[in-house]
Amino acid sequence: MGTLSKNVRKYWQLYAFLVPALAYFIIFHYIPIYGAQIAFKNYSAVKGIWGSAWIGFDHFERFFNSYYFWLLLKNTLQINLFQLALFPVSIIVALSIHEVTRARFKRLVQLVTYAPHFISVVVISGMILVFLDPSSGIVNTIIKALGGDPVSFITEPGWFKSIYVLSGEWQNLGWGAIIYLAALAGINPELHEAAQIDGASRWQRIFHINIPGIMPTIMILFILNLGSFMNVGFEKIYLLQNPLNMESSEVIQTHVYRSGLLQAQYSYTAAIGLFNNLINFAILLTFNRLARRSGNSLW
Amino acid sequence: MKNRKSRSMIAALALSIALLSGCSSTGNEGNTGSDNKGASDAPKSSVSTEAFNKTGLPIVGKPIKLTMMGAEDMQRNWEDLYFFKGMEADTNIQFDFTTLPSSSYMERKNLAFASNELPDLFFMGGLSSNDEVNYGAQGMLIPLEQLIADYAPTLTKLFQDYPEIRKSITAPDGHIYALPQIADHPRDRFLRLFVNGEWLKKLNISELPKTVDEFYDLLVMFRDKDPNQNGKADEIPLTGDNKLSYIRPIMLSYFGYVSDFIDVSDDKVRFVPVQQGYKNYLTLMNKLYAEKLLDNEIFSQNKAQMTAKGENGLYGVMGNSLPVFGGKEKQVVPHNILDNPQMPPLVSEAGATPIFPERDTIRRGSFAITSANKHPEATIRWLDHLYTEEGYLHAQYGIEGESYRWSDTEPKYIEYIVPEGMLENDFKNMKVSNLGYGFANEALERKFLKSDWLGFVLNDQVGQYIDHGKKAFPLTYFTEEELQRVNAITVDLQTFIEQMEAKIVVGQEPVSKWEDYVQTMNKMGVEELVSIYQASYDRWNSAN
Repeated sequence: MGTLSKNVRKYWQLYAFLVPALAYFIIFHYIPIYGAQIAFKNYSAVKGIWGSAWIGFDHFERFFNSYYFWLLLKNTLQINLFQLALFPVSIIVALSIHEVTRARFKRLVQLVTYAPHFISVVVISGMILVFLDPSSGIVNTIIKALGGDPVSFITEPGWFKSIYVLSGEWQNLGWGAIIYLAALAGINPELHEAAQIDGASRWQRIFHINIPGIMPTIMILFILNLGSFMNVGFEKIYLLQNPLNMESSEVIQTHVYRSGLLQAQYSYTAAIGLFNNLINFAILLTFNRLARRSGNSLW
Repeated sequence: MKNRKSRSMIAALALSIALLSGCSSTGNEGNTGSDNKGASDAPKSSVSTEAFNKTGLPIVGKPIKLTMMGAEDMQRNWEDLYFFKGMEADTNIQFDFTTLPSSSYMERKNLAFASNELPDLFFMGGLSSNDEVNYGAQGMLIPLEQLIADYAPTLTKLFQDYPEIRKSITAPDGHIYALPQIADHPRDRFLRLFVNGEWLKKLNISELPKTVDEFYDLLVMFRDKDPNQNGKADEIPLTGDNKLSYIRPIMLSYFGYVSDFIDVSDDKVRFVPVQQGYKNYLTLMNKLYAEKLLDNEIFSQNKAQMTAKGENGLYGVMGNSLPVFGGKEKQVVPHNILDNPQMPPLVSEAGATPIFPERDTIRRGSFAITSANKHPEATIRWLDHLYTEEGYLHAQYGIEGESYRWSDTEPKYIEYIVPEGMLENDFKNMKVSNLGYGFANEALERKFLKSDWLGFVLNDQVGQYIDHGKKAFPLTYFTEEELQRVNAITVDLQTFIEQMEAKIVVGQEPVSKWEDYVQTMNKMGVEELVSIYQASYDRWNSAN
């Protein structure tokens, strides 16, 4: 404690830089946690968050017993596992871009891959609906031209998760690669030179220099990804949802929107959200502990 | 060294200030539209210094300013409307407006209640009966019955003339928390299923179907006989607005139900999706879908896509507020209505006398005063003024001499004073109002409008439904405890039914699967739901 206060006094300018970020997290991320208590209460706006009556675990019980509980859990998990399975795609893209030697071509590829990141979710969803339209969409036009039967992608529950995850991957893979590219640029070129002199091939250099070099970055991004494991981007699912694909598209977030904001059942949905976050937190803790063994943990 | 120190300090400060101001501005973001000033012209009469007049106009001597919240889909500014300007000139009450498109309105309304940051007045506020009971009991909506008795003669008279109004808007605790819009128009009481008149002519069909089988035959003819004469089999015989929600109640009426959820038959509440007739409905819809008689994109298309297909002349029968059977040149009123007949109620195995779903003309939850309002007496008088004939004139036509005038013809009618270069419809929608009156019926409209006005044409067309009209469920309320249970059961149940219906109609699941679904629905609490609705109905019935 003594050294800390000494340090603060000595390097107070550096600590001053910490203040805004610290204030932001305390004000907007820690203080509002007290509101989570409405998950155990019957929230009424007039009585306020503190004044509402305690009812214990009723809302949790209602959620666990609700007809949609298992379906929601299944869909949320499946979509996230699917997304997680595609985690290496960005790494592969970064490694390949890094190998391109012609600067102009490299820049072009980078631009093309990360440009979709800047299109808004609403527009992307609109594009998906238009492209996959069974009668006039470009995809089905091609299928028909090749002699196939048109597929109603957007109303077929079996297609939903692939459409959702793959379109998301298309949109974000270039953006995701940027951090890896930065890490790759930080690898000491002497290592490559030494390997080249020893006669290492490109593949060997990728596997023995590049990948180990960015391993810490990969681990940290992987753990961060796991931290939001149960959170699915709500907007895109909601925009692509219809009653026919709902059995594979209804996830915890859309259910919370439907019953929380539209039906004003705040306490019930706060309970669902809390449940969701507890799972996230548990996963984060577990994997961080595992990662600590390799020395790449978050804390 | 010292210089560098102070520079870094300034940088740190600037950073934190930028961050903090960034935070505070996000807090205000949601209020767009509310920070507009009130009507521009200052009120003329400030002779009386008395704050509030119990009778007569203006309502307040000195102008007061209140806040108002409502749903608005036409992207117009309420402060520009002649409606509110006219009301302000009469009453001296000004408003700050918060308007939101109806797609996000429900969310924002709920948040306003949840955070207790309420407007003074909800106007066309779309409050559900749940909202009234819930927020009334919590004291966020104030009881109006005493205020009405003391300050609202027009409303009191309206309640006497239409006794069912008071009964329909009184919550179980005996209070009135919100006022209804009374749109006593025959045209609004029935859903509309238009038949393409041109196609009928092309195929020499002079009589509309009378039974469900004949209806089916008509759809088949529309599909096979190329009525749009383009040589392609691209006709779509049947469609409707918003997935199946527009045509579902109409189709269900062919099987003896006037609701897709709960209806009442001989004082007994029924849950429709578990009835045998519902299975027959699913069977028919599945058949229509499989044979491409029902629009195969009905579950995934939005209104714009439906309209586009309609303008390409692809539809034969359409459930929608107005028909779209061809391009803009064919959508001219009143011909659009006169040339494209509406499907009559049909006879089916469910009964020899057809029935047709009828909607209430009392629209509950339109106007409500909140606990934030410091001038409830003045506000109720403003609302009362809205229900008068002058209020109706403001609400529909604005201000005489500014936005409307009487014609020189005999009989006289009202015409808008449309500025050069503006379409009358745009002027009406963007500058006058077309928003929300308190009370109107045909007799009132006849005083102001030409006799060939679209609304009268539509009124005349409902003749074939009036004798067959049946309301699904009376306007009742649930108590708070009932409400909690109803909410808990309904959310999942409705999602489930919509999914099941869609799957069976498109043939992802066989119709026989419905039996299993009934079991599931029963497990989800149908019995309890029915008993709650029954209790609520019985209370309403005994109050009769």
